[in-house]
Amino acid sequence: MMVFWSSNPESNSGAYGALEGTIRRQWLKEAGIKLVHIDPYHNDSIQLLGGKWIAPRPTSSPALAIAIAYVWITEGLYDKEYVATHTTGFDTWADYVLGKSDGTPKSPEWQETETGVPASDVRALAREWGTKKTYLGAGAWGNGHGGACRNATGIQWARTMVCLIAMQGLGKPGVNMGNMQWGTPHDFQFYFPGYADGGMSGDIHHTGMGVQLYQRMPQLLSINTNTQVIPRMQLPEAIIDGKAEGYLWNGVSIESQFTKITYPKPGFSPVHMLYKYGGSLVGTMPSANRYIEMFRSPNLEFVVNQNIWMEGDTKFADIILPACTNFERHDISEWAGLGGYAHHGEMQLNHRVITFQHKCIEPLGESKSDVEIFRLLCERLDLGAYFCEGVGELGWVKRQFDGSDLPKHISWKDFIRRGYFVVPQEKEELRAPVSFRWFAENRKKDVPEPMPLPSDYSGKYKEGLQTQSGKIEFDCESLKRFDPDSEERPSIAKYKRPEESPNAVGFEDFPLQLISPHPRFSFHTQGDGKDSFLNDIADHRVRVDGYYYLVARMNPLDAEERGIKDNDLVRLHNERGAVICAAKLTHRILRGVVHAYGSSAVYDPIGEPGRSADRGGCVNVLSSPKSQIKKAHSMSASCCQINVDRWIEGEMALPEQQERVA
Amino acid sequence: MDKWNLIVDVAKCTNCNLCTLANQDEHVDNEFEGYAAPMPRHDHRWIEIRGRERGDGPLMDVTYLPVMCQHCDDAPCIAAAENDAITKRPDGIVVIDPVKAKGQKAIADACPYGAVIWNEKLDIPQHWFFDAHLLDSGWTEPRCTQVCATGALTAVKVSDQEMSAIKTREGLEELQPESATKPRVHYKNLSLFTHDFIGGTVIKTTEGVTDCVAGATLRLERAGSVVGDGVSDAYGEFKFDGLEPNSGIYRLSIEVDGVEVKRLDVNLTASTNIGRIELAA
Repeated sequence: MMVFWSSNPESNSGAYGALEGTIRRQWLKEAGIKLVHIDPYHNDSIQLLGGKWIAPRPTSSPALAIAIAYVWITEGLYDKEYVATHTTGFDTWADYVLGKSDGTPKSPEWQETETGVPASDVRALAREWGTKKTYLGAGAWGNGHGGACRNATGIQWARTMVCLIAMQGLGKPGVNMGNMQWGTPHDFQFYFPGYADGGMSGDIHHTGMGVQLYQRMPQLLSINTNTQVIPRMQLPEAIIDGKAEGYLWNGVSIESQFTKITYPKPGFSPVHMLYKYGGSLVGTMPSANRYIEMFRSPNLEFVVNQNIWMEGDTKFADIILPACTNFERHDISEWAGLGGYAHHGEMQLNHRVITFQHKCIEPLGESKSDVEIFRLLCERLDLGAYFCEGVGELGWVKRQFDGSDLPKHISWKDFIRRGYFVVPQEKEELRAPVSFRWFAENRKKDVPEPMPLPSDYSGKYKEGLQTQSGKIEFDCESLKRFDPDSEERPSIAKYKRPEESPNAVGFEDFPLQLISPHPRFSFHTQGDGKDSFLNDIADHRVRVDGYYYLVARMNPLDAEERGIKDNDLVRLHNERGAVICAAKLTHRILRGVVHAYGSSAVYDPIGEPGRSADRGGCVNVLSSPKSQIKKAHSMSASCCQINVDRWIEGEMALPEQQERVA
Repeated sequence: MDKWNLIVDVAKCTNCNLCTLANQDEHVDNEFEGYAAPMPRHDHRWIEIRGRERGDGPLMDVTYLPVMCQHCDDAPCIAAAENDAITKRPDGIVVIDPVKAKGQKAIADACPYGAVIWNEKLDIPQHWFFDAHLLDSGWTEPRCTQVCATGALTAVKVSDQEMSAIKTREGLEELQPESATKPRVHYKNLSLFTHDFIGGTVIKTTEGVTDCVAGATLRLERAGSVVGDGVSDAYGEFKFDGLEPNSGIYRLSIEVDGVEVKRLDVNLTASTNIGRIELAA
């Protein structure tokens, strides 16, 4: 059996993986393997693959997971030997699950009030799962991007997923985690740098360059030496209020996340200028009106936006530097090669493919390539040669080529002539072993991953996990040391209903849950808006009175209560702002929940920017800016409370001005 | 001689829109002399994907139906065309000449599938012409099938005799048999789009605990004759599919351990999720 939990690989498989994994999931169907999908939305993977659909309310998945564990414990349906030998702290967690430590048994009936899923379905699922070898596709790279992991209970959910798979013997044949997306048997010895590996001009901080690339392609250290950082989710507060604090994300070790960061850092200058490069913040970042406020704040004296597109927040810049498109410059890249924090991202594809990107035409108008813009700026600072190290764009492409394993297989000229290289498949006897099989079989770690680094093992190198005990910890030692009394992140995985939830105090006027997963047809802001062909996909945007509105999916019963019909313009709103969308009525979304894709590229306020309704579809205007817990870096933006009403142009052209809600 | 056919497997279409996007990529702003004028940037989907939702949560499904020019052997558009504006090629492909067809709105109006689209600006009818310009330059398939990742669209070039055998073997159907146009586009699993289902969930409460009833035997009858037999799965769910739309009253009987425990009637107007059916304790 396979359980997809907040996992919709047919929509955004593996990120960057297109539909490469689809055929493997179709094999599941052809092989007659039972499929279960847990998602409040009847998602694209359910649509294509079929199977049992279980629809918990958004943010309630941890309760469902804990109730499954309850059935397993009370009916003896778990791998007791594995739990005894490969995990620690199980009895403490079991006491919580059974209600011995808090008086509340977490039974299937208990979860029903939280999730809305019938207790009978939970028992049926738990019994099937507990008696069949079951593979778990849990969000993450599956991909439920913007799903259960990115709402207010995301950390609880992620931890319960590990608890469940540990109870069934993670690493034993047929018992593992994945989404039939990552894990193809490529040649992982062949090196080509991924996008998070830095790559040029000594970009060694916060990239994966140190893993291999720096040794293969030595560079001058022209990096910014300033060590002051701002917690990303609090950039607006840092600018507007002049202070912010948070926790570091650093993939080097588990405990790196316990590092507190504050802004301003003592002795350092506050921010005066923002140099913006890449996709739009508005549309992709939580509670997006905060960013508009930031751009308009007198504390931010100067904004540069270097961009291909006039989209999202580009127009809030003092100076726009037009960057050319990828058709107007040379480049080199491996498809889905991520590097850095997401090692071997290319294994979501069926082949490793490295491409040389030819410049088709010279940059149009006054646009220039990103590298050329940076070089010209550095030249004015007398740092031009230091930055470019004496080579242009094509020179950097050649250096990447030389730093990789490509020259062992193909000459530079042949590579340019052909335009691509497909890495030969690994011989069957040399293929990488299955993940966690070594752990289940008590061997040394044998999979090709750089992490954990040698110092991160409590015992001997490659023996056990990077936890303090080297085992899967139901009761986490590092959390006990870091924050033993935390209610937000206790040392065992518990379920706690979020502050922002249906019927919660302060949200009485906003009874609907809005979920805003990563879009299916666009990627971040790429491909959306800009008069693209995607405007013609009725499941993406709908044209009403000549304007392309983002689609908001509603259950027909919720719509009927509000007098809303298909393709009506509706106002999604809460105290953070308002967004105008086109309604699509569908039973695919659970009652009480609204579904609209995040990451709109269009920000189009109908009145004062940041204080009026947006008709571009930036539903992140409505999402919460809060971290899931205070003492970690995380986002809770994939679910927020809203209400929806019909929007009639003219009658409500200028809704009441919204005050910023932090 | 071998002729082109397109096979559409409705069960494998997931509305990814790659076929339509590839078609736009090929034809927006691009003119192929003798084959087609450019298609407009928006609104003209030569390959249209229709969607249909059946049932409701948790027992529901969503089916997508790609519809494009059917390349009929008995094409109403050819009959409606003047000036030899439309060619039926020896390889089975129908091509509307963009020059000769100018002003002939009757060509678009004649298509019973709505697959010939009137280009107001250029004053011509347009359609998905199997990317004949690519096939003639050596391509082995059109762009829409090349990008289809699920196997929902497949182009095959075989003799009419061989295609007839494939149709029988694979159970392929015509989109609108009543149109009688001898289309060269053939549909598999079409009943998912055209027909309805009756489904439900069997549960039972014993000593205050409600459980799904797996392995219950179900029989669906209509007007005294058996339509089908089924067994509920681990979640107590069952589904009788392929029922004629609006086909009236059905009788559902449920047996557990060989004993009939429930009988109920369903009036089928649209696909119906009966919901939770509670068996007596």
